[in-house]
Amino acid sequence: MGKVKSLISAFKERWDAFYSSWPEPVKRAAVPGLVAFFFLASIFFPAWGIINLYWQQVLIYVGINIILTLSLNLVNGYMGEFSVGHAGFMAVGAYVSSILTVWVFPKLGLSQYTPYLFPLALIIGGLAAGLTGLVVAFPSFRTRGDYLAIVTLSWNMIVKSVLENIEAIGGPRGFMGMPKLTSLAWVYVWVVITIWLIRNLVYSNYGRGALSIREDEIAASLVSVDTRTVKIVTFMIASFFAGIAGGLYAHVLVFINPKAFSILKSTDILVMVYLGGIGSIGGSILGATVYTVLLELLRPLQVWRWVIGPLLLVFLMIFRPHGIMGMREWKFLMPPEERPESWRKERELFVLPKLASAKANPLNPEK
Amino acid sequence: MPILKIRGLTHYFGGLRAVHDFNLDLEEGELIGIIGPNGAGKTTVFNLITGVYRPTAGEIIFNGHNLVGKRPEQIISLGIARTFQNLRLFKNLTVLDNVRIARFSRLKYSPVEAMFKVGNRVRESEKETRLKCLELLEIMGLADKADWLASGLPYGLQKRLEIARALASEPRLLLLDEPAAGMNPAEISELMELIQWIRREFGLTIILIEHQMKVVMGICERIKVLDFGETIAEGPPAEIQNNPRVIEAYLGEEAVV
Amino acid sequence: MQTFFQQILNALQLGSVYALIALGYSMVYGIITLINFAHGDIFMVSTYVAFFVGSALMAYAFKLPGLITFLLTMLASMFFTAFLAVMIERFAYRPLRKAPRVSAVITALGVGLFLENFTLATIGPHPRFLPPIIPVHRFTIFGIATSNIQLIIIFVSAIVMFLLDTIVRRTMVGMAMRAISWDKFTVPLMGVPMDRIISITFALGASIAAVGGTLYGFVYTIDPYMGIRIGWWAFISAVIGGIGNIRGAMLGGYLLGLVEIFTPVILPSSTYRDFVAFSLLLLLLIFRPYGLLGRPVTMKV
Repeated sequence: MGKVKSLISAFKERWDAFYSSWPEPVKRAAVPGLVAFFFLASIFFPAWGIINLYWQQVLIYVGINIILTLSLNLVNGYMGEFSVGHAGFMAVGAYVSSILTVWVFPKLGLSQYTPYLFPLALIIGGLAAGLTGLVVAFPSFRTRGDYLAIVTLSWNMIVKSVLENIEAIGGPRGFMGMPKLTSLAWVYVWVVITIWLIRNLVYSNYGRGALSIREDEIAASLVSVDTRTVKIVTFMIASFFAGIAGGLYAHVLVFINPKAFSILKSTDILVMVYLGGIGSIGGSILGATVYTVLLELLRPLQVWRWVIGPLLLVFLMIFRPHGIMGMREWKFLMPPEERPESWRKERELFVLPKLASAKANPLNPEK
Repeated sequence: MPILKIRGLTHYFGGLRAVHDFNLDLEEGELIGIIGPNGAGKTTVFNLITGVYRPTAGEIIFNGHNLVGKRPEQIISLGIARTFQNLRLFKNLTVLDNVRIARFSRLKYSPVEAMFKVGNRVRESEKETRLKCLELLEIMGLADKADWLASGLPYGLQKRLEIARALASEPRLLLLDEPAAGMNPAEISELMELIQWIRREFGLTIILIEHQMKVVMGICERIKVLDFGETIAEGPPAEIQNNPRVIEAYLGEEAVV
Repeated sequence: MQTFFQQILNALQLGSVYALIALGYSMVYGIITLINFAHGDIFMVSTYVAFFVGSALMAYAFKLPGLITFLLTMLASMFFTAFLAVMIERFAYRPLRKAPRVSAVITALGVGLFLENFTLATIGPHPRFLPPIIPVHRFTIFGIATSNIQLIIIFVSAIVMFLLDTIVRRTMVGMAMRAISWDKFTVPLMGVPMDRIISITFALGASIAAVGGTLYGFVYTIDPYMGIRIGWWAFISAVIGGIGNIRGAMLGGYLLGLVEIFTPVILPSSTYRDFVAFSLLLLLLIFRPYGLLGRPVTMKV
């Protein structure tokens, strides 16, 4: 283990040295440039046959899982809550967006526009899921810990049960007929959007509010944090993105049934969050990728796949509950103004000059 | 007009009477102390003022606002801040974040604005917050450690950080709960100077709970003594020191200055 | 009218099983404040043990009277299940005693899922029936149809619950269990072997669930995913009764038996049962989170 660690830190040093040798404009353009490159790749590589259909499918699942993991990390990782029924929100998004593309759009005579209306269907699915997020947000005002776990699990079960009872959308037999609109390019776009929006949220007032609730909810309320609003916002945004992921999922599988959104699915998402690391966007990306690829590689084992997943979760919780990147973040994902170097610079440029002319205080008598 | 007016404050925990008929008229700019043996109800009074508990009976008026029934964050937003007996910092957050959090209610942008980051409102408010908090940290001698985790600070600096966090919300009334706990004599003297300095500098009214008599007798203008929830004495330090009831009830730690 | 009483008996039968399982949830929560989400799956394992032991006994020892076979099967199931539960506590939960709550909750979920899928992978998904160790005799009393099995279930469960109540209230072990649930920190300082008492609690909870499992297997089919269905209903029973409260678990169990039997009578379709049960739970958690017989806990700031 030590050997691996020293290898990693040696690599990090080399990389830091290399990175700091770049001129400023190159540094600024690096991340947007890569994002653009991968976007083009997601369109052309499949078209040119560089990535075969199988790996396209795998990458699409990786993308969907990244969105799911990021959304759950908001609630469980940043806000420290116990939401263990996330698949329920995914289900809402999946069904609502499918109803739109299969029934509503054709009914409105918009069938030939459906591929262009796909984002709209996803967003409406996400909004519906976001609204259901309120159902677990309100109980979270009064209960924490185990009780909230029960509430969220119950909600997951209720959603599944309700879906099984609505014959119009297939009941337990499922719902199909969606056009296969989810492509690698679409998934990539949504992953980038999700990372961008969640990153911005996390480094804002609301992100700090969520973190303070995790650290000490009572102290948070006693430093003016409106915990109720923060909880509502966080739960709703998390459910929204789970709904988007659900919509993408429905339109790549072109068949959904309530069983797909059971507690087994919720546990999968939990594994990815805790594997990658709580409170870390990079961690969520890593966790989702590693877990999805791992399960894919284990596919030949068939039913034993589902034995490995939970076992992995248990080992994770016992030996490394913070995951790969718990509460740490990749530099390039942090907004520039939130990096320590930036704070140091602001201190030099703005704060020190301003206070140089101030009167002495007991802590700095020489000033 | 007193900035804080408390009448008949009484609170029961089930069958246990924690505070009984606590009264206070606090003028702006005063620095008063609340002392008493452990379990006398001092922290409970703070908790009642800041809305952690809803008082069984009584009235609390701050700056013309009735505090009873309001939630803690509403009360804090009206201009009250506090520190805690056992330090309640956000351990896994940075020093700067701990301080910034106290300005939560002053940041008025919506989540959607935060996520899409368009327009200037988010960027400007965040910058203003950062600079104000860095300034505060600089004054408190913590700015060079702004990116440290709160848990990485030594105890003395953690106590200072909690005070910085309390000041960040620009309060009018500051409630300090045993700020001198765990300090040595040199640190205590420094603390006494600091408290008086921030009172002048930030125009604060301060209520102090303390066991260290040096602090209480040294800087408080007025002292209230609690025992089993009852107010057993009230007055300037000289009177309290010689009050037989106080001495009888409270053979506290540094009992003599 | 007779149908009504028949249904009451059915509800008691089902409710007894729920109550037995709910006890396990409550006892574990009472002692280490952990919701053992794996408990339903432990119950499922107990039914499979009963199935294998019962089938083996029937095949190779058919000369034994039914009652003896029944008792042996139940005891084997109790023993093995208790052992499994103690192992789970020792290796999955004990390392997490000082860890944040979320780790323990998630671990419990993981253990449960592991048990389900492991059983599925090794034994297969087809539902099974326990062999007819005690042949079924149906008869009517006062016009109410019932069977010997049904009465056995109801009475054996009641006896076991009474025994447990006695153990908890009248023995040293029981006193230790109650003490630990009140104050985890002082009790070890008084010389009470906490680890051992916790293991005993797990073993007790599991063996009682195994009683329920053996009885359940006589009437219903068993499959690897039954832990989710039955376990969750038993869990809801425990929470409704007041989790951590032993009598609450019993009350909750019978209540939920009534819900399960009478919901299809009131609502159009039996598929609404899950929905009703979970909605009840949700509502209760919002308005009275500590359950019917539980008490609210205040926290020091």
